[in-house]
Amino acid sequence: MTYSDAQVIDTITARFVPVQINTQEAAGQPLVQRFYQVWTPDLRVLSPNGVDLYHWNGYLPPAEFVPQLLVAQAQTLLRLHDEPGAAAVYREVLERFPTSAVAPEAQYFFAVSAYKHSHNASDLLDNWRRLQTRYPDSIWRVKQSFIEEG
Amino acid sequence: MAPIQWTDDFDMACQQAGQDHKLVLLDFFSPT
Repeated sequence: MTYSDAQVIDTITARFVPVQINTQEAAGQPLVQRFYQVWTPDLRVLSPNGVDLYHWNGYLPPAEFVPQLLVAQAQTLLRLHDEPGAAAVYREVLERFPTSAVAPEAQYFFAVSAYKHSHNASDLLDNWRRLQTRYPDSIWRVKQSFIEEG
Repeated sequence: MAPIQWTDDFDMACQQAGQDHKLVLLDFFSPT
């Protein structure tokens, strides 16, 4: 089980306040309706004021769940305008989990986070170009492919 | 290792997240 894995426990405990809602119980229905919940597993990362800033569906084994959690944390920090915090977590994904399924997403948004903090175009473009060499078959490479033209 | 300390109190979790400078992880599950 994913939730009994030591790395998963460490990651959740250190970075999140974890809430579980049983979608089959009446007590859970207000949150099921509030978040338009339709299918489990359904994981959301929320700001402390309860706004859903990243979510995903579906089972993941620990080796994919931990980097997915980190990408969710990083994206939430980015949307809360903590660009240095977001960049640090995206970098952690790229260093610790470079072959994970979410690594290309981390590379894309590491570039965005770095650029939005520095306003230096090379932080964006140099880091996006790494998608071309490291993750050439990724949809995130396609999402920056306009810079490859010309 | 101690298991994850889940809560089902959403409002308290949000308040705790603000105090601890953490984020809320909300897991909707369906027992199998």
